[in-house]
Amino acid sequence: MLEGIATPEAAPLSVHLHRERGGPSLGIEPVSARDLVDAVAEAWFYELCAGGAGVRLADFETRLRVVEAEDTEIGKYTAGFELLEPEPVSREPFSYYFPRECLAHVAARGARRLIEEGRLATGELYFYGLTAGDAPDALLRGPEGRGVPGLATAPLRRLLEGAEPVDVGEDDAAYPVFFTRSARERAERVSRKGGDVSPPVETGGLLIGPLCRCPETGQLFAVVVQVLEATESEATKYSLTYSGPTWARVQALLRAQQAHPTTRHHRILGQSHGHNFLPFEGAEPCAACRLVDVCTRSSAYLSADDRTWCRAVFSGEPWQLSQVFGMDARSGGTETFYGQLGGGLTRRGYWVIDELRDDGLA
Amino acid sequence: MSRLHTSSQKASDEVLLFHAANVTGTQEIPVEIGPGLSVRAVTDSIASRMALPGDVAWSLRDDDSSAYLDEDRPIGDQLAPGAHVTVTPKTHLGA
Repeated sequence: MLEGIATPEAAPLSVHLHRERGGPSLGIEPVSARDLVDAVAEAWFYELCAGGAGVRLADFETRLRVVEAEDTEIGKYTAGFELLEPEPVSREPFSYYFPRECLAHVAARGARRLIEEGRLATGELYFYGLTAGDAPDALLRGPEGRGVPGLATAPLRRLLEGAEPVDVGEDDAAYPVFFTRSARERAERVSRKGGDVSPPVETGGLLIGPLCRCPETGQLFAVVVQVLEATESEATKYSLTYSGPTWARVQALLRAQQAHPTTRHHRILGQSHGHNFLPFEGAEPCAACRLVDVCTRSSAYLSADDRTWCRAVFSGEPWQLSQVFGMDARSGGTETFYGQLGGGLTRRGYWVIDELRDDGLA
Repeated sequence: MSRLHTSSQKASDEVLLFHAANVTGTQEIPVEIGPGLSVRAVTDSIASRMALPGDVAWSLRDDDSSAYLDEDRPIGDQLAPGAHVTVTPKTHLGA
């Protein structure tokens, strides 16, 4: 029998931390309903992508079930969890799997507490596992105040014709992402701008564009058409902080666009920024450098701080995108692109199109 | 709708009404609060209601002035009724 709606602090799951894999537990950190917002929103988004009627995220309900697996060393363990239709009424009730890795931030929170209590040393390696919490049957619901995103209409097939794939993989077809060429170039220009000053700093901006639904297939996709530079930000070699004026300018520009008929569906789809420094503190290229075509070192990665920022800014927004421009050991340019999958940001690709014509959007 | 009041206030007499939204503008909630409460307490309450990450510190920014509210002062001293605030994360991108 299902319990009532989970309060933000109810714990459907718990993370337990260990010094050794399969060793005794150092401590337990509750996984609250609040920690599961991104997974709940992702399940809701999958339903929307599948042509669902468009239930407000605030009204979307799901229940959780742990998923166990077997390991030769430690035996049975909880590999992750599923989000399920609460009271299955349709022939194909939904069920979406999320690996335990999407709760790494909860484990990190538990580790910080253990460090404060002196039970774990700073920098000490730890392992974490997952178990059912003290409210395993609580019904999970999307956050208050969340609706259905406004969707532009555009034929996906037409956009894919002539589009240039960039690191596109099989999973990317579920939620295609396009950049107009001008937006892609601006994202790189804005992100690498900080490399032109001495000492170099991190710079970046927000990716802007519509979420769209294809009228032929019903599929959802995103098109980045613009990049709003993070002006008046506070930048250092290893950090970029959006200030009050940064956010105020972005919000004013976005509201102005949303008030115009042709750009009313524009939203903040993601962020782009530059790690304008050489990998490994500028260490000399490795011994194999002259033997390989592509340098494998890169400063283009999503750091722990980057992930925390994205988790905060794009909380409950599973369409979120993240792009990092960096350098390899040969001072060549590198780039990585991420989208949300399985409750966390993972590498993905995108397509580049020449432009998004006004008559291509409704 | 959550209500936080100091014990000396009557709910029907002294209530500050305003709106809080997230930075992407995709989530907005009405807030009804005792004006004597500190901004810090109000911010924590709003972030919890909006189910924003609990391991991130948040601040409130007045949309009219673009200024961040002083966390230690009462919210009623800094916001006019009907104001719009943005719940902004106190965190940064960075390697």
